[in-house]
Amino acid sequence: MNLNFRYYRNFRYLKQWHVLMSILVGTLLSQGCSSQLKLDSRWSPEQINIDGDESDWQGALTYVDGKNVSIGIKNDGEFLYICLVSTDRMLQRQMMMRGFTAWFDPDGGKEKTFGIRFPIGMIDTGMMFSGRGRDDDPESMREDFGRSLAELELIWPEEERRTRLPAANAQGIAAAIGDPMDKLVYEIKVPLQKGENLPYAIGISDGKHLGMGLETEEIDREAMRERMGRGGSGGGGRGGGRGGFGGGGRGRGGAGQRPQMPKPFKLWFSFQLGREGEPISGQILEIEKSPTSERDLPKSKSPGRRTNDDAPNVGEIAPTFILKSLDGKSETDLESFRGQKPVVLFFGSYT
Amino acid sequence: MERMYQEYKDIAEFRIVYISEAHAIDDARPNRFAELKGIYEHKDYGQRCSTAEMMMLEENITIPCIIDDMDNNVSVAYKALPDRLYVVRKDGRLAIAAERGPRGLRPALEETWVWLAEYRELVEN
Repeated sequence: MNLNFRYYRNFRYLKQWHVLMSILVGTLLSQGCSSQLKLDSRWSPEQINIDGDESDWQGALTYVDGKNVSIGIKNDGEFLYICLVSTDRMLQRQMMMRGFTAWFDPDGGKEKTFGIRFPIGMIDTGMMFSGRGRDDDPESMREDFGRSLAELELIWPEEERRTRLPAANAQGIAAAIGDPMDKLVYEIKVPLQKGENLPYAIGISDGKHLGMGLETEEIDREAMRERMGRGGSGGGGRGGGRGGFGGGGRGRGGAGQRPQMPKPFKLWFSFQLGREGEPISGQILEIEKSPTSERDLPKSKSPGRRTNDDAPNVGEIAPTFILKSLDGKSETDLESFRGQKPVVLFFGSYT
Repeated sequence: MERMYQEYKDIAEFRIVYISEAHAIDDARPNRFAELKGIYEHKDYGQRCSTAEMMMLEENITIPCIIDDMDNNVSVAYKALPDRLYVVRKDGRLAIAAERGPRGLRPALEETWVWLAEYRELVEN
């Protein structure tokens, strides 16, 4: 088994995310609610290859409604295998930048007894702040990205202890992320019990109930600011390029931009580990859903941050209009979307 | 933009609002791209449509395109020249209002990606 890391084709998003993170801030609201669906841990007669490829999980993935992920759980007498598949690019970015931790509670609850953090996250590895100007150098970004998947971190919160290991099957623990095209495939393998050559384990045996959490890390804004060394958001920026719609205009940064950060991903569930020779029985997957707060829509960005033209500002009613389509066959009445859908308007020309 | 449209067109409306050329050959500040493509400031609505069509075809853009009238009323109302991005919430108010020009467009696109992801989370939960 080896770490099979495939570089993201949508690398550009990561670069953009890098920019987004480096001009960090945002307010996160959270209110919980829960729902349930059936899931099980299947007894796996064969070991699963932890290679970031979902081919071992055919027919074993369950879609988690509202989270835009599918999860598969298998175990044999020695190891637990978890697979998470998603097409959610925001989750991919969060995982790569913030880090992603799988928590285990051998008592079947929600106590963070033992965790495996993988990826460790490009924020915590300091890769976003090393000042190598990687935004201009995709190769160095690719290298950083690969390095961020080279290690995993074992966490014992009660003991305040952490250990880093190679992600590629070190002492029974393995983790990998692959990306065939644009899909996230995350796999980990962890021993159920300690044993010879298995110094780290969940501490549970097959047939028992296991509590598990999957979550992206919260952002430590203060630490980010310190690392950035400039006390907060902002950043310079390079304008330029053609400026039209055709793909030029590579300007980035922009002073004073304060993009909102996405909410961390959190999913807790419990299940019974499969046992050899026993039929699979559906277990309850308990989901902590993300906020569905009082907001009708996400919070607006900080108003009044624009420069000195008197264009419509955040929070104001958008000027109404009715314009014909390019083919002249239909019209767009902005007001007709009110109460229906948000509207993204790109104003511009070819030049 | 196109990628954003493909990813979120099920939960949001997208429109390209084609306005007057920013750097046409006969403009005060022409750029090389306009010279390369032979793009002049639109003399009439038909010419504006033709240039917009050229852009949509050459850049493989499938986002619905609407054309500002020759009096540029919409462009002026949004202070949109040379380019600008806005996100209008369901209640008709602006969620995102970019700074004018390419400098504002890039970070606003970042914001819009995040905003739409959050919006999807809200509507689907």
